[in-house]
Amino acid sequence: MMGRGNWKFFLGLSGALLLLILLPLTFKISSYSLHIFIMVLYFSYLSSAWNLLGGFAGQHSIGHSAFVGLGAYTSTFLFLQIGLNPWIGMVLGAILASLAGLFIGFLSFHYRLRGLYFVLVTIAFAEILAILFSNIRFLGGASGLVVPLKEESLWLFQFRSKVPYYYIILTMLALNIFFCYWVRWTRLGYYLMAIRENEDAARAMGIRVMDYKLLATALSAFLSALGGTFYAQYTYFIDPLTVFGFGLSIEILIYPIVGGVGTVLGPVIGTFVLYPFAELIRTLLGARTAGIHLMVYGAILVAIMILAPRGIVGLFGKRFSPKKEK
Amino acid sequence: MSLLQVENLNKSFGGLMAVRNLSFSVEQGEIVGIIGPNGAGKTTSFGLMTGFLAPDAGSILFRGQPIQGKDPEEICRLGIFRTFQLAQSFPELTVKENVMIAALLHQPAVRLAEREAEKILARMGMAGKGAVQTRHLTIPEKKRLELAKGLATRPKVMLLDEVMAGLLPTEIDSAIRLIAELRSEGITFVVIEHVMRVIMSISDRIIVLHHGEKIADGTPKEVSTQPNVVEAYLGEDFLFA
Repeated sequence: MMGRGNWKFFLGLSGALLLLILLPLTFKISSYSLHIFIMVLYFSYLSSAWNLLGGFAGQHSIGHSAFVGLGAYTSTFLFLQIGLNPWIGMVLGAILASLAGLFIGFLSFHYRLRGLYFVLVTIAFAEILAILFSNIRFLGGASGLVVPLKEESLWLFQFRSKVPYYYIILTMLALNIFFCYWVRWTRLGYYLMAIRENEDAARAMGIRVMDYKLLATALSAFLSALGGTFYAQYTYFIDPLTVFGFGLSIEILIYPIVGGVGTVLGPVIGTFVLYPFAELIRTLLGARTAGIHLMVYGAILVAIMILAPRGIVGLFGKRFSPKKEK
Repeated sequence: MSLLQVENLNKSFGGLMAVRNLSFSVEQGEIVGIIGPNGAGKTTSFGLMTGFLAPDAGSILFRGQPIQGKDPEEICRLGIFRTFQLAQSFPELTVKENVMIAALLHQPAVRLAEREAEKILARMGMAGKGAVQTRHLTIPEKKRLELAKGLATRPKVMLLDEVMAGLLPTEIDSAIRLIAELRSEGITFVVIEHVMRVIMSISDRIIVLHHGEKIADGTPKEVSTQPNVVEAYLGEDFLFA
């Protein structure tokens, strides 16, 4: 199925990937800059995961922090309690998040909650988890959990330097993009788009809408939770507000909206443009008047949505979205 | 055993009985026309037969198996395809993608489905439209696309809801030819249509609905001369040769 896209897409993608691989090797990069790059890759990753459900299938979740948080908490909790290897905890967290996704997906889709109602369910679910985790002392309560530094090793997913984290999240993002690309051109991708475009028409042609929506939810939750564990291992600290919070859910969907919802590269392009920009105005303006950088950020977001309602990818049309040329 | 058998079907919306004690059957290979004034329950019966609406009472048998209350996607999988009065498509996707997605029901791979979609579009005289986004189609084109998608699901029965409304006379002629051709290939049709010339010429049998009830069921000739039909639907000044 890989041969379906045009070769320029892959050439461009491989080039970008190569640049990103070489970046920390060739340039003397400050720890701060590297952190920005890691966060850009991290949010690209989460946004792409969101895009599977929100973009391809058109089921807009504003509660994806729920899945990120479940991933982060599962691996961290198991590491603290029974010393379980974080990589294994990562997979367990992802499975748990998928099950949670199936649960809220089933409830929503079974009762035919579409559009805004689905949005509300996802928000409520994430909020419930945030409150729950804030109040269970066993799970760290509102003050969260600290990942104890044991030894620096790939096996324990712990490093003093930021460079290994950079390569781990870069690998995760690359795999995620290829997965999304593959999905886009297979039966699953077409069915998800059909569901997004017109659910009744999809059902009339025999598509088992419920199954495919649940599958998209589970996949999206799974990938998001993997990101959550990465975050926990990277920052060594998680608390309910940062990993289950509403702010995270919003951030995850801002980037695809800016970049292009439902396209393979939109979420990534959106993050690469918006995140460094937000960081820039924060460092430039943040120290002057409190909150002014957020106002500028908001104004820029509004401007982008007016000028490019289909996102940055939409501005370039077919060049960035891998349509076949015919 | 009839291919499709509807027995004592009832459906009401609030206080309105949209379909009342409706019974009829459709035989393999038939073309059955359904006519009736606006609000007679024609589209509602299609909705009931394809699972988009759940009947309050009654049964629908397809090849002897009850299908009432089943989900629309399962009914399509059994071989019943309906078109919508207001054509329903995937507006942002291309015409070919629309048909291809329908063809994926039987094709194991995207590439094969794509090839089948191309064949069907060529047959429908839409080969040149394959790359067009569906939202740019005209209404008659959207209706033709409905048919194309339907064929791609390889149906045994097609329920057509006013697919010819808005077509030019020459287009109507080619649509009639197409339906006749498909019937000879084994597809059974139930057709809702307001264009009398069409319904009279293609139907083996016509069912007339009025206020949700069946008031006539017979050959075009029988039905069109039945006094209550003339009164209810065709109008008193309708002249049938």
